[in-house]
Amino acid sequence: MKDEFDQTQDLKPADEIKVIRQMMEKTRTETAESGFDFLLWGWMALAGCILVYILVFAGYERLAWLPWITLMPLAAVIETIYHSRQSKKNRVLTYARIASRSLWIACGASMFLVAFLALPLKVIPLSSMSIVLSILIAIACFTTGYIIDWNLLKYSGGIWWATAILMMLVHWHWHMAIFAVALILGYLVPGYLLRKKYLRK
Amino acid sequence: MSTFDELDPLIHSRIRLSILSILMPVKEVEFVYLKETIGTTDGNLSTHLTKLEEAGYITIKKEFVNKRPRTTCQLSSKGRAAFIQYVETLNKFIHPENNDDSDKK
Repeated sequence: MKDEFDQTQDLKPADEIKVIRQMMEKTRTETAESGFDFLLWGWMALAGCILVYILVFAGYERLAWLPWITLMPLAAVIETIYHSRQSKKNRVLTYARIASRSLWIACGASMFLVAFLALPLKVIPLSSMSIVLSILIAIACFTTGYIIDWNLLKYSGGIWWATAILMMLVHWHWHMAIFAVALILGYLVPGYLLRKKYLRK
Repeated sequence: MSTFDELDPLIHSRIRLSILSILMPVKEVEFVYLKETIGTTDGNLSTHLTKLEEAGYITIKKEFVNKRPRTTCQLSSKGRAAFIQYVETLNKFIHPENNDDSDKK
C-alpha cells in the first residue's frame, strides 16, 4: 500500500512552504521553556531577601551574608540536577534552547563572581552589588525574550533595568526591598505565566 | 527547464521535506519525535532517513540511554545548504517576478 502522505507530485510550491512552516512551528512549540528556572531562582532569591531582613531586624546584621551563601549554591545544585535529568527526557534540542541556556549560565556565573568574589574582595562596594546584579538579570531576561519570541520577558528585562536605575537614585538601604519587588514582577510573574503556557501546550 | 526540475529530488518528498524542516532549527532530534510529528510509521521514516543519510544530508546516532535504545538525527552542513537552496528555488517559483532581473543577467 502506498503511503498517501508521501505523494509529492501533487504538492505545489506553496504547499511545500506550508509544510516547512508547519513542521518548524510544531518544533518551536514542543520546545517551549517550562519556567522552572525562573520559579526556582525567583523563590530562592526572594527567600534570601526576606531572611536578610529578618536577620537585620533580629540584630544579626553580621550574618546577613548567610542566606545568600547557602541559598544560591543550593539553587545552582538543584538546577544542575534538574537539567541533567531533563536532558535525558528531551526529545529535541533546539539552537534557541542552547543559546538561552548559555546566556543564563554566562550571566549566572557573572553574578556569582560579583556576589562571592568581587564583594568580599571589596572590588565592588555593597551599595553597588544589587545594581550590577539587576543589570545582568535585565540582559538575560531581555535577550531570552527575543530568543524565545516572548514579549513579556522583554518587558521583564525593562523592569530590571528600571530597578537598576531606581537603586542608583535611592539610599542603598532600600536596595534589598526594591530587589524583592523586582523579583516578584520581573521574575516570578513571568515564571508563572511561562509555566502556565508550557503546561497548556 | 522548469523550476520543478531544478528542485532537489532528494528533498522533493513530503516526508523528507518535513524531516529537514524539523531539523533546521534544532541541534538534534529523536527518531520518536520525528515519527510523531510527521505522523508516519517506523519503517517509512527509517527508509527516508536512510536516503537522507546516504546523501550526506543528515547524520544518525544510535546509543543506549538508561539501558534503552535511542536514535537521534542531526542535519549536516551539506543538508543545511541543500535545504536552503531548495527553499530559494521554491521561492523563485512562487515569486518569479523577483528573479526576472537576475535571469536576464
